[in-house]
Amino acid sequence: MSDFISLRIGTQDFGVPVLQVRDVMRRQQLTPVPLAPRAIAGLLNLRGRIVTAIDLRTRLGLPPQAADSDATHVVVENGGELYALVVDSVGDVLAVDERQLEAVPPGLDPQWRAVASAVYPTADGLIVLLDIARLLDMAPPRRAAS
Amino acid sequence: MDELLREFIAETNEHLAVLERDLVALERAPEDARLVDDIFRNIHSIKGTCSFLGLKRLESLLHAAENALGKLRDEGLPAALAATGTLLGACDRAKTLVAALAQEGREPEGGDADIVARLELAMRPSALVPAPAPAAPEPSTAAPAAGVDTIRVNLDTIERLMAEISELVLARNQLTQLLRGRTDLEATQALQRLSQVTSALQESVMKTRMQPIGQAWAKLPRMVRDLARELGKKIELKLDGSETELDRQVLELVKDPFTHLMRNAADHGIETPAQRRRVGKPETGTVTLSARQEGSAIVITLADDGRGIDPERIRAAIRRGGFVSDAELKAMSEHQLLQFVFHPGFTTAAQVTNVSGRGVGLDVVRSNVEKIGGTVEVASGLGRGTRFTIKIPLTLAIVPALLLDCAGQRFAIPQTAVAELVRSGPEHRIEWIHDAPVLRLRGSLLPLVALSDVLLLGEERGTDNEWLIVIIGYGAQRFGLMVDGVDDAEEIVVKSLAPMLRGTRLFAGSTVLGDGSVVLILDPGALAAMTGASDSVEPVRAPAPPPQLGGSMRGDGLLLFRAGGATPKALRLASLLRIEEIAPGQIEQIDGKPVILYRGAALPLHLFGAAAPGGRQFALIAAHDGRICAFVADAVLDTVDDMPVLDRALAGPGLLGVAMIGGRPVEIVDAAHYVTTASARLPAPERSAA
Repeated sequence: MSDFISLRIGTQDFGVPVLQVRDVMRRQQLTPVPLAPRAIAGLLNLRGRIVTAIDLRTRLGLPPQAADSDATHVVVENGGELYALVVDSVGDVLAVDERQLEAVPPGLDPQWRAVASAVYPTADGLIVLLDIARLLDMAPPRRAAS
Repeated sequence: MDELLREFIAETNEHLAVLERDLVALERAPEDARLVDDIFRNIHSIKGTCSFLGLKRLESLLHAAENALGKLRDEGLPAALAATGTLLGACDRAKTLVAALAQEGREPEGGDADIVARLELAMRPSALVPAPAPAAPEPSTAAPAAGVDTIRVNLDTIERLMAEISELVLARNQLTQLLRGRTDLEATQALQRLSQVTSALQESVMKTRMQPIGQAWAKLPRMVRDLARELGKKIELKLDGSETELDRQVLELVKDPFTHLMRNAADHGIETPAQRRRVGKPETGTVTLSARQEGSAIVITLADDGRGIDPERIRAAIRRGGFVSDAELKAMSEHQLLQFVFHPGFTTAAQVTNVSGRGVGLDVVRSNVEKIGGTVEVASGLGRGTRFTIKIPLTLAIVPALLLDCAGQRFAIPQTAVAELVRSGPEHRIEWIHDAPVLRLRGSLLPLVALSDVLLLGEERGTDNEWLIVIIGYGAQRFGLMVDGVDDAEEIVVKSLAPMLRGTRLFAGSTVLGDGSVVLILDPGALAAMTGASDSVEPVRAPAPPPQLGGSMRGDGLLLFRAGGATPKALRLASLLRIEEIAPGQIEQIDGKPVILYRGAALPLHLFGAAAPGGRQFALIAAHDGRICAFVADAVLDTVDDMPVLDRALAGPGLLGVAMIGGRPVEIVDAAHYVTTASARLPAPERSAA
């Protein structure tokens, strides 16, 4: 068994390993980063540490959220750095039985396939489990104009 | 016990532990060339320190190990399998010696002929039979702890401490807000106390990470003295800027590079007193080590006034080592060529001395410096000396910064890079050359760049708008950064960016300001690079172009030189035939006009003004339409890509105009004018060479 925290974007549920999650916060003030990859939402200050926020919607090629709606930051750690995943809302902790995991279906959008580690079927629907390292591996940033 | 010795023991125990681990790994992966390089470096490092501490027994033991390993490296790696056991044996013996050293403060009596003999045996090609497993090390008491009044603290611990203090500062600020306006004496007094302690704590923690670079240099004077004796040379060491503060971890990592560079300068750079006398230099060679903060980096230079590096020897060594193809080698500039001294396994030394010359050393320097995100470069003038420049980024360092407003966002820029602030207006008008903005400031043209354009913040603004211009000086370059305003100055702690953001290159990092907000820190070096000018106007203080001397020149670029006045001048390379160094006596007068004897003919000479007294002089020989003449230059600075002439207002006979190169005005000389007005027939042999 391993534990995942469920995240929601639109009507889709995702899961990230609970061991990598450091914090869950309401929407924070973000400092935008010019020239950064599009999915970078900005930087925020978490108790003196600088956290890079990733807009999960953009990362997964989904339309942006309405500006006035709520958003939640899920802070995860990867390679010693902190990242905040910007999602619509956060659900429960799921105890996942590995034997019930399904492979990522080949027909899935390549952008999703690149970051999904498995699919977990539940009574309420399918949960896409995300691989954080792969989520953070994105196209290099734009170079400065010259 | 001697402080040096104590430190050596602590270091060597660590080195030996790593060595043991690597040797064991090599046994499993004998084809891993990088591992061999690591082991080589490690042994070389320990040996180096041994030799200047006078630890003869350890030194000769390690020398034998290094020889054996070097032989294996040259003969192909499968042989390493056979030798690792023997090498491990040597490693064990070294550990025993260090343990005894720690207890008695000196090397134990006796010798290591047994181990040395085994190492020599392992060097023979026939030794492909696995050596017997090394005898179990002599039971040695564990090396006793060395230092007493210092402890090693994991950097993470300090990082965490810093983060927690930042949080404490924010909490204190909140509390101050809450208690504002209250007259409750007890509460305000308590808050004041809390405030003081918090500030003091913050300062202490920051201080724990900073150390003056002089600490890493403490060993060097003695080392130089010993080296000079050993090599029969006279060397003077000058230290400059030793108070420059460096992050503790950074300092640890650059200690070894200093040692290596110093040995290198003493062994390869500085000549013997007799050699120096012969070429008219003072008997005592000088090695200057200096440190300073420059923009977003700490710049450390180590310069000697020795023989310099001969690019031809480098070229030959590259060819011998087969590091690159012949075609690549041909295409390399002298600067690129020189950087090969940092290549693993690269050596020009014909003889392996005890001090250096095995082709390890400089690659250690580079790998250590790159580990902390720094760069190292070498520049050299044949016969004039060599200069190594190490640049360490200010990541981890605390810097005063200026906060700039741009398109509604704030950015920080290190204050050390800011030369002055100018508000554009009737007095300082922004002018345009095609679509490039420039500013006339005290008689020179300053290239400008709008920060919002650079960052693609896309706010269209009229050209006649009011701007604040931050004038940035970076190395030899100056340019103006157009922003909306300047906010404030603040001391900031630089934090590195997440890996996915590093590729933008324009940011040196990010920081949390006192009010808790996050801002990005601009990298002045990257901005300077964007203004299009390169940082190469003055690569070495006494830059000479050794390979071009007497060789023929070609290309589309400009040759920058200095003659008669401070403003550099430039000649199109296309019109340049040769550069010759000339002696003052070579210039003669015919009909009251200066000429120089060149290949048996008198060549008309143009002097731009009085020559700098006592310096070297060069004749730049230019041709036009089958006629030639020469210009006298005090110094040849560099070659750069051809630049469009910016300002033709000053153009006149002999002067095509002024261009901005490296952020400074350069006069472009019209060679054709001089050649046609005062010229001689091109001597016949030259025609075919041109």
